[in-house]
Amino acid sequence: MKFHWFAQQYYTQLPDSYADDVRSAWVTPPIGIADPQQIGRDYHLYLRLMQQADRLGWDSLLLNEHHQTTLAMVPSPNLIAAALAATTETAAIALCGNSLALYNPPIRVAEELAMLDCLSGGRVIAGMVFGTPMDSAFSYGIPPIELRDRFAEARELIVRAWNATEPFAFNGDYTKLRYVNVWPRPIQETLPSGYRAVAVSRPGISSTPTTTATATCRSPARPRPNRSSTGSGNTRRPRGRR
Amino acid sequence: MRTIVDIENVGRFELWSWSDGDGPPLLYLHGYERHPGDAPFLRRLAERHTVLAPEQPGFGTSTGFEHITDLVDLVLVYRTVVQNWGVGPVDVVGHSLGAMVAAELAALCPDLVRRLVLVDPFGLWLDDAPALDPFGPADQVAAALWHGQAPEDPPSNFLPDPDDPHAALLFGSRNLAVATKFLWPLPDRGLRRRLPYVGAATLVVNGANDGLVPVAYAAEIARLVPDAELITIEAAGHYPMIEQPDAFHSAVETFLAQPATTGEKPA
Repeated sequence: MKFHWFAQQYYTQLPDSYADDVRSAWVTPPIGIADPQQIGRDYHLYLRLMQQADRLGWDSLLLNEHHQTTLAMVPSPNLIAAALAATTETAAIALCGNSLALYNPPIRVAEELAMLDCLSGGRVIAGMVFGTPMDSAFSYGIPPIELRDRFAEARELIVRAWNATEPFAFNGDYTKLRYVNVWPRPIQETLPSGYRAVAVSRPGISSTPTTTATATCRSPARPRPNRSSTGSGNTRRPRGRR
Repeated sequence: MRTIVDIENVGRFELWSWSDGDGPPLLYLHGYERHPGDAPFLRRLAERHTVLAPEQPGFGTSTGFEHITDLVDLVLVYRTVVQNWGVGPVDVVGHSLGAMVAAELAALCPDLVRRLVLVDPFGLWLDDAPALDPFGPADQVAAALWHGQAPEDPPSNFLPDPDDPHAALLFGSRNLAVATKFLWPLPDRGLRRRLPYVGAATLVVNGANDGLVPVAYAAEIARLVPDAELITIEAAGHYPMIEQPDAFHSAVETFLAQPATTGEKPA
């Protein structure tokens, strides 16, 4: 059994009358109620909680991705993950987001997750999600009918980009690139399934809110054997397994 | 001369144009590097045809590129050019990027095109036969463009400016920049899906040693167009009309001398 630390990073100072005055907490919440200074304090609170969870031995620190909402002020979980990667030691950093269909070209996701894996010593769990309709369709304008196709194409590109040993051209319907050769690459080795440090929202399951996506996140992959002699002895031990 | 094209809700285009000759009308669309200007192969085409060879918007001194959002707008430009010409359907010879546009025109406006010649046509991408990047390192591109040595002065409509020592560099760079709109990062804007709608009889001519548009690409286009034949020209690269002018001329004129397409085939 694994223990994942997760706290929805909602806005902590909603006015008491919010539920009476405002129809929605998502897509169209009034920005006037949000105090950026308070949001900064909230971010520090969530970081301190996760750093403490790491010290207490939780297996992973779980982050999600949402947009235009008071319920989760994490449009870019990778930014929080970067702070955690540099200030925690042991717990896996479980990203349930990135919402692949939202990023073009998706190699940005491949690059950032690889950066995080390097920075954290191989502790990243790369959960890839469709995103909720509020995120992907309403806030980011992806036509719902294209969402899964865009996700599948992006996932194919990202996984190829992590594993290719030579630059390659990619001629997708949504992304076209002549030279794919991302730097850096993740520390973690390819999973037996062919995915490297990848957990995937399974097609056929609704694009559920990422709050329920924890079930789709797998344990971190094995660390990749050292590929260069200079790296010998430097490999961090696998994370998220005790 | 300049060809003026006004398209409602799109914009105004003023295209530097080469025109000469007598005979049935022929629209020539140049390739991705430059308009060939008063090139020998164009003069030779003008011996039997009334040739109109407009420069693509954004190349050289031709204006209106800022009005173009995608390839369909460029098709609208040439559609209007042919309609304004007022001579009915015309033969269309396109080279390189111009062949990509010519194929789109023939697919989307089949009533305007009598017979179609595609010379070393861009427009597809084959994962199994990745082609060299036309915007890559200059020495690699030059080697891919030509079977033999690259000519020192390939045909061009560039006019040197004695007051601007950088004019030639700017001319070439700007042309390539405009070409990227349609060819970068991969020269695939969906032409594959529209080629079955080309109604005109089509000749695909390809240099046997073209490294930018390998013969496999020309063969695939010929396969996708309902009524198409492929002729490869030996000892030629991306510019068979320059490296092998006789073979090129013979292939094209033999093809164009045939009667108009008997009728559009169902796609």
